[in-house]
Amino acid sequence: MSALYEAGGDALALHLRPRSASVRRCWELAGTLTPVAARTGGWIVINGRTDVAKLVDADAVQLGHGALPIDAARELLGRDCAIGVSVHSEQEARQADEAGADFLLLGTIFPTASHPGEPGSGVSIIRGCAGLTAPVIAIGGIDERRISTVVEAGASGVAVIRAVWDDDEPADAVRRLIAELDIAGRRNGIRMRIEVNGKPIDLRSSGTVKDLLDELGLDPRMVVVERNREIVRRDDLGAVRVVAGDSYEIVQFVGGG
Amino acid sequence: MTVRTMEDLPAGDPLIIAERQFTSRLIVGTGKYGSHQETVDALRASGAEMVTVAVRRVDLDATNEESLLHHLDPEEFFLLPNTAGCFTAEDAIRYARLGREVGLSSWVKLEVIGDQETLLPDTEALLEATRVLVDEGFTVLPYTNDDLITALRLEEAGAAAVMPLASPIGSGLGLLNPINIRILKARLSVPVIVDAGVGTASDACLTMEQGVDGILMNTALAAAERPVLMAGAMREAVRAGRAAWLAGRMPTREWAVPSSPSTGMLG
Repeated sequence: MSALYEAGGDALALHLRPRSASVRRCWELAGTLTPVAARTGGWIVINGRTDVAKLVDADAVQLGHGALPIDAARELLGRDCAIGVSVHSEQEARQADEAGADFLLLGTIFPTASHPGEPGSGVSIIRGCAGLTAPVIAIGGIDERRISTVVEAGASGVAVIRAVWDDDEPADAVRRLIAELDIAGRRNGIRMRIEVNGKPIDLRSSGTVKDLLDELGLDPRMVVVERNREIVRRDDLGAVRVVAGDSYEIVQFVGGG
Repeated sequence: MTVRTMEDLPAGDPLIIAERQFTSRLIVGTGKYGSHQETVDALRASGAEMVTVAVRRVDLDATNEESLLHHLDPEEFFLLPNTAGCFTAEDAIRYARLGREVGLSSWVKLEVIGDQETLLPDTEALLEATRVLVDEGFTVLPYTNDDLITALRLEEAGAAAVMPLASPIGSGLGLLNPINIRILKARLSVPVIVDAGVGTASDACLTMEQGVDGILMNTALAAAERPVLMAGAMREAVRAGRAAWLAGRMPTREWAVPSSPSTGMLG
């Protein structure tokens, strides 16, 4: 799994499900992955278990069927841990968005062996989620060839199992998937909603924080940037990438006593 | 250098905070002026070397509105970011870190307000924030009330100076409790800067005559009808008050004592 983080960099989130392993195993695994995830900028996402997410200081928790509601999870985890919600219809997506989800895992888009017998909703459900604040991550039967289709429909990312683990070289598969996402994102002007100084802003292309400042017409020497409540050092502005759902505070010196 | 005449001030009697030397004992704020130009003119007229600034969101709808940094040359003025408007230690720490990131210094004028109407400090949160920021390497100048115990604890927590109020922020009521200020000055080892409440030149002079190390003011200049002129008056008042303190005033007494000889009167 470390090799996947190395391959995926900050574009990769590994989703750990205590459902198939034991909670203890999940907690131990997350602990061993924390250093490499922190170094590469990749995310650790814990499925369902807010307690484990809190203990391992996970980047996100994924709330599925029967998990705690968003409010309760937020109370436990605070702002530093993003909250994703699994949704299966436009209505569920809208509800989760209004309830303050940081991202939505939307599926099942295509038939998948994970849910045998389910037909798959098709990509129209993704289009139906246009206009929501939370970015949509498409899930269900997605592989390299289908990335452009879901991104075109409005997905900000994809969640996969077999597309990586059934590959002979999972790390290579991660690289190929991310490359495909990049291409599709550039071609379609991936919808990326972020918040700057309390206002929602839709970006057409992904880039660094420095690019964001350029787009806003701000001189990097005159301002200080906080990304998700953490200061971005001036030297790092050109290295830190803007990610959908990011929240920025951009401040400057003004007159004061 | 020994101060002998008024002309030795302020150069011969610098204000020293955290081993940094300031020529002027007057520190001024940059808020509430009519224009950037008026701000700079008043700052220059005040003779202040250290000036406070606030940290606020960039207005995304008016990004052409120039940052204060376009007008204040950090070579000319030492900029002291404040945490004005913060009501919790957590917020104040956040603002302090942002101010530091501008890259000019690790100094902060620490304010943690406890009440909207009086703008009096929340001293418990102030102490907590002081400890955290000192630990992070900040040079912390906390705005506090004129309570000795709080002042002593701030000093103990590592504050580089303690800044008690003369009266509430922006009130212009002048020095309400000179006795408390004198007690603070007598008991603290770090510099005592009276911050807030000074209204006019006589307030500034009277405050300096208590022996404090300096004064920080904003509204007294910015809200004067002619800020630049008032800035000059404050410059002289602080200098005069300091000189009077150094000169050592005569004792007061209830009854008259003649100034002219009582001997040699005509028979």
